[in-house]
Amino acid sequence: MWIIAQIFINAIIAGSVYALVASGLTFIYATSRIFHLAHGVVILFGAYIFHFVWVEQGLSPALGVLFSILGSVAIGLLMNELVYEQQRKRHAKRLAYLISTIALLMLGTSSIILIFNTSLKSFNIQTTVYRFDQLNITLMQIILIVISCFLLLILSAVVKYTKFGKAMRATSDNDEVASIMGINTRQIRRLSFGIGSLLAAVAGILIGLEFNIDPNMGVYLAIKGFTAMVIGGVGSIGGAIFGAFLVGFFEQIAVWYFGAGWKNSIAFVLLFFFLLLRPRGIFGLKRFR
Amino acid sequence: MLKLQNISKSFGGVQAVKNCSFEIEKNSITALVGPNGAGKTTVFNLVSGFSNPDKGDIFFENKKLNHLPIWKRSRLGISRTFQLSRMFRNLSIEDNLLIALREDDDKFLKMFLRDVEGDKQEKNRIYEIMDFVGLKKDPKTIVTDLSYGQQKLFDLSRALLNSHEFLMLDEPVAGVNPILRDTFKKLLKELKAKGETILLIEHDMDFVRHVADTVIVMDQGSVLAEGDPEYIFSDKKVLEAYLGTTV
Amino acid sequence: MFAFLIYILTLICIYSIIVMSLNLAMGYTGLVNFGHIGLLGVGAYTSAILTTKFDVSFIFAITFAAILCALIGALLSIPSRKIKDDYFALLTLGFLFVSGAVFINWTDMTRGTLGIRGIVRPEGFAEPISFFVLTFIMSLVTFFILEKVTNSPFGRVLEAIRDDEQVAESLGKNIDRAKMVAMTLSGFFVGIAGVFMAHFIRFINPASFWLDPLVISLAAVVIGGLASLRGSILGVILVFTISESLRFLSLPSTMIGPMRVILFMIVLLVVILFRPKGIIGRADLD
Repeated sequence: MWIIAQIFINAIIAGSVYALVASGLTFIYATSRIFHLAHGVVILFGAYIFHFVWVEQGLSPALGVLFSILGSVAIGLLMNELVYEQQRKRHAKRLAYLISTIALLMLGTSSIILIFNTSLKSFNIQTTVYRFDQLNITLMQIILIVISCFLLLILSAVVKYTKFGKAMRATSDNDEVASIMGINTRQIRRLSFGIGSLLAAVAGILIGLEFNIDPNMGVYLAIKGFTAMVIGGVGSIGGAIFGAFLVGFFEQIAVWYFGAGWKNSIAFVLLFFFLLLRPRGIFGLKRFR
Repeated sequence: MLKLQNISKSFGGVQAVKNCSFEIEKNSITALVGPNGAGKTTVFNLVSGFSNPDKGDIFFENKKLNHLPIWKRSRLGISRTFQLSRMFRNLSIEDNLLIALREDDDKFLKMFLRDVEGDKQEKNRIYEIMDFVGLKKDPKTIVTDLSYGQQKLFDLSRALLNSHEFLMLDEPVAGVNPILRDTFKKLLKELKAKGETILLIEHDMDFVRHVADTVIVMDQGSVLAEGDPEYIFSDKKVLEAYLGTTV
Repeated sequence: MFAFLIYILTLICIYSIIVMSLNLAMGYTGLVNFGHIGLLGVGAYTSAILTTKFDVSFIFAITFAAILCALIGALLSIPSRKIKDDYFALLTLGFLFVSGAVFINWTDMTRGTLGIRGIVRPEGFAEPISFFVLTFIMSLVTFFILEKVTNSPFGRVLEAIRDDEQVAESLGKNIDRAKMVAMTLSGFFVGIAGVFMAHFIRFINPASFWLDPLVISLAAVVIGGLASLRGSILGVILVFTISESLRFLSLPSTMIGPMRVILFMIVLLVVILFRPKGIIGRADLD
């Protein structure tokens, strides 16, 4: 009985991080229609820069967060400016974007390995553990969930209530019409990449604090983010959040039943089934909300 | 030859086609007209299989088409063009047309050992059709080198070469210069004389008047009026639906 | 020095098969198959397990592995009926990961991360030169067969599917079946390549079918040119030439791996942006 509850809690923890990744991807996909797998690289930089500044250089964590966010956003924006926008100018086919995003992903992952070296990094954070009978949850985990929720709420509010949010929705629905209506769609895409990358940086930081970081996690997280996005219905932030939780949940179940080795494959199995059976996702929205 | 019975189709809340019914006779030229958004291209998509109806039935030569895949419908004899030219951009004109002409080239074992070039018979057929429509371009050129008007001629050639009993032309003369427009008028009439059955979507009423036996007017997803061109163009309902368009 | 040359040439032959078969699916048919390397691994592991654990002959092993991979290729093509483009690519990436997970976790068969050692070359081909000749012949055979396929009416239909699938269908082509044939052939040959790789290097582990081959094959197929078999061979030669030249930079060994990837990916991106057709490709990415 308690095991189920623990699974739930672990699912929420993992899901919170995946939700940050997935929402960022949703933003990016909504305005640019690119399957930005290289998003995983941004997450990596977020985590590694933070670790480097705080743990290796011994500077304050706040500074770490600052550099992490700045660095990740810069990387995300660069990828867009130097590659995706250039391809857009040349009216590239879908195939071209797929190849370039994978190329960026591998390029980025190898850069991380080169710059920060491959050994597993950890933060060795010990925080108070709260126990309810056989349930465990640490303070760190609680903080993680709170920060996630907070950011996601702000995000939703921005999309719903601000002028920028409106412009994003318009661009997502039909970027030609949006641009005719005077919306600078290129700016909107930039901002989407910026916001998405910021979320990715935070995700990276939180992952680092709670779990360990390694160079391969970038691609896994990107895939999980996409899975969450597809489950929830591409274009819906709320859906992505729900999808993220679902991914987290099924992962925990898989680990419980089959052992840790299969954890990362569950997302794919989920992705496979959803694409086949319910490609529009659970919320079936094709519009950006 | 073609019969639509109470066809309805909506896309995410927008009712594109509503209770649409009409019949097409063999060896005729029918024009499907109507204001933008009337549902004409949707009808084309529903007949050719690019879309499936929510309600109603489509019969082609008494065969129910409803959920048949696109390629099966093509093999039944339905051949179509597209509003915006769609071609195999990396291949030559000749390759494009050979693909249209050939019939079993999707069967690996049959085609594996055949020559890709196309035998004399195939090539002659292609040159014949290109001649017929007046497409004067070296067949070896990449298909993207065609001018707009030439693309329209190419579209027609491809539709003709594809083995068919029924031709659906989506705005064959949209944006085309007057001389080419006249060429198309002659071509279509010749095709009818050869026994072809044609359904076309067009906005150019003069063109329609010259070419069509029957005109079907659609508005807001259903058939508004049906009859010969002269009758249609003096019908009040039709003029109202077209408010603002010169007839 | 000579031994080194033979070594590289053998690898080039093996990779030529990998890239040509990838090109068939991607460059000619337009099916982005990131799982190609996963199938390479399946071919390799199948043969390795059959010959080391079950003492099966090389001929039987390679036949079995090739057919198995052909079958999986066929299976992979089925989702492409409902799932298109980007989503299909995502799914194939999934196959890559799942196959990787299987290699790592099915320890009874694959020995997990320890890998499989002591894979023996077929009778009479144990010497590097003779194995190279065998590999070379295989790559020639592959080239000729794939050349016949792509340079036939069927090949043109594949290209039509790549350029505009719906229009191809509207011309009466059974596109689902054609795609299945393309993926089956692609799987068949990459399976064979996997077998050759396993018996050449004589040691495989999950990491052998992960980043490195993916990087090499992706770079080679794009740089050489999509929809050009000769381009694929050229691409492989180029990639290996660049790769080996890096040795002369005398970098620390931990740096070489990542540096290679970075270099290839940058070249890949440059090619995609400024010369999407690659060196002698026929299909444009624009």
